[in-house]
Amino acid sequence: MKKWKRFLAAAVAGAMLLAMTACGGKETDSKDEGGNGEETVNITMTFPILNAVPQDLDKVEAKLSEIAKEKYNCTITLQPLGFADYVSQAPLILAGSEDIGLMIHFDPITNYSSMVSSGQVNDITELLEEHAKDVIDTVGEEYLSACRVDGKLYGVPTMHDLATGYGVVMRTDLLEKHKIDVSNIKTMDDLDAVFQVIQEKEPDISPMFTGGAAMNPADAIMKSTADTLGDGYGVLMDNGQEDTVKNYFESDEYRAYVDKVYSWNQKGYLLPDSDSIQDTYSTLFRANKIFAAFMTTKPGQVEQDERNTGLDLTLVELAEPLSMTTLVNGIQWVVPIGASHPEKSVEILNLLYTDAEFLNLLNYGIEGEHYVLGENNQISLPEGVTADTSAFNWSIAYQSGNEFLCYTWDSDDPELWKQTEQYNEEAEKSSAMGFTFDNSKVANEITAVTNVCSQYRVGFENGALDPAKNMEQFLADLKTAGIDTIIAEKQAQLDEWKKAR
Amino acid sequence: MKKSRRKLWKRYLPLYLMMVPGFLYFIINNYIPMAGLVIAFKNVNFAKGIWASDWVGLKNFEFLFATKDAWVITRNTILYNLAFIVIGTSFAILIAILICDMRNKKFTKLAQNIVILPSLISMVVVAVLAYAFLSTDAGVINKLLEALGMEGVNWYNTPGAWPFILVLVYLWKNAGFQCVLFIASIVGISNDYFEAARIDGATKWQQIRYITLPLIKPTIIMVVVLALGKIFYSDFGLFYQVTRDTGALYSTTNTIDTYVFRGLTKLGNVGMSSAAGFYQSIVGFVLVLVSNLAIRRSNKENALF
Repeated sequence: MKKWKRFLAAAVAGAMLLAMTACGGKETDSKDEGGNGEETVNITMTFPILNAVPQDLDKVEAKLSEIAKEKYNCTITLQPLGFADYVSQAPLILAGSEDIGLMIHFDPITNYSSMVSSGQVNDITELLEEHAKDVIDTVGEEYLSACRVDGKLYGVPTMHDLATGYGVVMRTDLLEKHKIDVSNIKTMDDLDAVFQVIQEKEPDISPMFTGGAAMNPADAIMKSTADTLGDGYGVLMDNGQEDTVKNYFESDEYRAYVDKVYSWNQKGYLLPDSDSIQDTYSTLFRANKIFAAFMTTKPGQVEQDERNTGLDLTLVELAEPLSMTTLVNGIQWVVPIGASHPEKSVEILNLLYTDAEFLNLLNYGIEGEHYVLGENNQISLPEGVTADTSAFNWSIAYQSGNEFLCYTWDSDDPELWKQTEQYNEEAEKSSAMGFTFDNSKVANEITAVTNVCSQYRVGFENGALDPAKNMEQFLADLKTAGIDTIIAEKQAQLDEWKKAR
Repeated sequence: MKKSRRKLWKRYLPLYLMMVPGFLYFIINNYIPMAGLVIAFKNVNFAKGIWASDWVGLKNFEFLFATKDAWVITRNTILYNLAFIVIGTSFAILIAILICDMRNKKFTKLAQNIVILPSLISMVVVAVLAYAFLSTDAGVINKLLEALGMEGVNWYNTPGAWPFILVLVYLWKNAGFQCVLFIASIVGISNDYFEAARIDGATKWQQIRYITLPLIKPTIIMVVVLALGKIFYSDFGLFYQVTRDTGALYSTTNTIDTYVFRGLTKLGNVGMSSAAGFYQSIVGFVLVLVSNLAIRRSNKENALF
């Protein structure tokens, strides 16, 4: 009996040892030989998405790999992550040893200047010249210059609306029901009358949603009226045309906005507890809880929102579009330092910027199965399929590379891409377009200022904090945290950059 | 001589083998990564790799001390942990004594399981539960206040209430888990002591004070000293999720962990966050050594090592 027990104990110990070695094993990619004896490299692409991962991802991935294999002897693995996951995963990917071939840098989730200064992304200046000249030509030097740090390129900006304005979207059905005319609305003050009507006539729906805890609503306004110079701590006011870097939170504009939103909250126009709501506006619209919400604007924005919410929406613009470096280098394809074959990653960029077939596959799925091609290069969902039931429905066109080569949905204007290109050309451009701030010297101050901002901004910008009582403290705290040091450093770098031009 | 050694070997070999997986786990998970402590002193450039990056001395630690928040976060962390240690341990002992004193032995097992249940719930779920209670317009507490004729309170905007709220949530969640340890100690006390005390006419309170507490003193000391080692740490879920990361509450709920998280997610600076972790563990380490030394001076057998 004793011997048997001893043997069992030893066997269990051995089994546990084996179990330990079994878990944590990584899958090794199978590398098969290409036609000419070269290995077929697998390029993993990772990027953030709004909704769930599409059902038919594998099918589309297979087709994408076919094209990539034919042209560059690569297979493609798509690794989409929800935005919330992207926030926590992106730093890990950049810091770790995962072999990710291409990754989307998405400001403000990832910080371009930090990535470059801590060596988390590859310098692809030469690789682009060698393997992707077409990409350089397609994007154009004006926009590429926004991604240069010290003259070198570390990423390629994706082509999309490169300017932003802001406004308010409202439910068309309620506008019509209560006969509200919005054609004369030009400022936030004009909105009060509209909200008053909605509050009286629709007691179950909150007139306005400022954005909730997940975002700082004033960011949208800041980006439409000033050049945020990267992080918003020190901006160029007046659409980026000024030369002095100023503290946006000290400005009259910010104070006016906060006062306005606070008064709205006092009058009961805002969704209650806005400053702790994590849901997005599209969820709240769909749940019939709000009437209007702040929105950044671009051609096709309303149609996109209507697709996301299933409602008819009207957009009222409150600011003219403005373009700045952060918008251009805010979304880029970068090659993380852990990529095993950076030259192959750069070659795949060719597909993302010049190959319409590849792009349409990536964005819309397989023709006939996931969409139906109609006239004017416009597409629609197949019979009987809705946005909710589609097995491949995501909106990543703006970050896919060159969305201008793609089809458009039939609910959009067929000239959408031309309009966007025109929009980009005509938007006012900040005088600091092309300047990227290197924040490595003021890392401590940025940490402190970020903490101060997270303490106050969500409360202020969702109307929960009274500016009369708290603004002074906020500004004093910013000063103690060192925002003036950041501003001085930015000013010095900006002046130097302007002299060098 | 040889024969008895062989026998000992045979007897203890299975035990050593059983220790091997746990031992390997500790070496791989806890000791080898200690080499990474150097990250706190380097400016990590991933292109060069961790080992070849430049040394920057104590520069990564500056952000913890240079800000006005430094005092607030340190004070909050220490005070909350002291409250948790004192109140938490007392409460756990109380529950352990109550459970052990139950007449119905079957109910004892059930009681133990019920009490442990909250510690198994994820803090994120707890945060949502807390929101159900504390929400301004739909929360249970405010509805109760209104039913009693009083006005509801905007809890997520009242920093003063949160030390109490967080201690309560902590107690609810952790007391059950901690009391298991104490139950085990109390059960180990020989019943003869209690019988003798009962015969002598001691009251319940006197029994607890003079028999139970002194005999579980080693366990209490162990729990407290180990908790002291974590005094600069905080349960991130408790201070970030339950407060819903609301800015208005920072003055009473910001701890070192939440401060570092909020400040550094944007920057992604590994060196600075490692420095914060290093700072927390060094202080805890020193405290454990010092308190163990103090205990050893007064009562040698009660010391941990």
